[in-house]
Amino acid sequence: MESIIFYTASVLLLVYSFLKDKQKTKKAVKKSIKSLLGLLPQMSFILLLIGLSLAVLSPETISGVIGEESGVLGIGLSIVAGAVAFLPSFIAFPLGATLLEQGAGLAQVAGFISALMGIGFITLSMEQSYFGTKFAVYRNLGSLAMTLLFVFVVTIFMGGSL
Amino acid sequence: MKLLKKYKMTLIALLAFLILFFVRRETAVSAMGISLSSVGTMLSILPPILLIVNLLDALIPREVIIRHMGENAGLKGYFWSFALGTFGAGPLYVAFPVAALLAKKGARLAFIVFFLGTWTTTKLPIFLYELNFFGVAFTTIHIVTGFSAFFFISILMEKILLKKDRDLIYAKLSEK
Repeated sequence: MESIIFYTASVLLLVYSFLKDKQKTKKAVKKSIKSLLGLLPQMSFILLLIGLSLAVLSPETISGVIGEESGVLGIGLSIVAGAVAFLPSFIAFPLGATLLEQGAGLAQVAGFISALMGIGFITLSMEQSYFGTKFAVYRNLGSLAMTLLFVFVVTIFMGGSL
Repeated sequence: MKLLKKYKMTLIALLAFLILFFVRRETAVSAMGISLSSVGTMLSILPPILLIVNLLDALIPREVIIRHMGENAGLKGYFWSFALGTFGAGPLYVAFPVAALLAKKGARLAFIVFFLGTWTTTKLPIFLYELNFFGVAFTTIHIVTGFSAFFFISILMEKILLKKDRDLIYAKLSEK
């Protein structure tokens, strides 16, 4: 679904841009191919790591360590699992709901989902190559801080066990 | 040799696969399956996004971005970072080229951080999913804590943590 939208949008934009300025459009297409090829080493690494992380961190494994009674340690583990795993967010929320059903605590699931979306070990190398190491590290630490705040507020307002 | 260096990390990951294959064959096979299906996801998003980003780079005048997201854009800049972050779809690695485009066109560093923050907190289609699975209270808390945290973080990163590195970051991003 997403891919149809993206490809359609890119083709429409390509046609529009071509009609407006042939020379610039040619340059943009060439540059896109160059950047795609430039990203290949990082992408191949990222794709392999996605498979490894998800096979090792299966939903059963995750729900095993972040049960209702797992407390602060469980929250820590769920954040680590979320940071290391790589899942599209439209899978993250159903997975979070499943984890809840399997007995995981709300605070732990909140930590897992938030870390999953915001902290990216797997994409760190790519983030570094775009923004530099300092930015990448601070941005990820910022996401960690935001995750901790989220877990804390969810626990206060919605119960759940710290 | 240069190629080998470029793909060093990939080779290390392949080695990990090989080791896993001998230790736990089933896990390795399912991991390979997940990796291969991720290739599909990547191919369905990354090439068109790169093309869109590079075409917009050619089409959008720098003044437009500076006016809406530049150093003096104020709250309007936060609004645009939010709008771009929440309408953007796809995994985090798609947000990087978009952020690079914004930086190249003169967007303020704090807005780039806030854009990435929005991207990683909520997106329109995901918002409906979250509401559906976790309810109003949970979703509200998530969004409110996310936006307030990233508002604070964006200022902290721009004004203090990355104050000296700003030019370096922009130079790096403009090469992309």
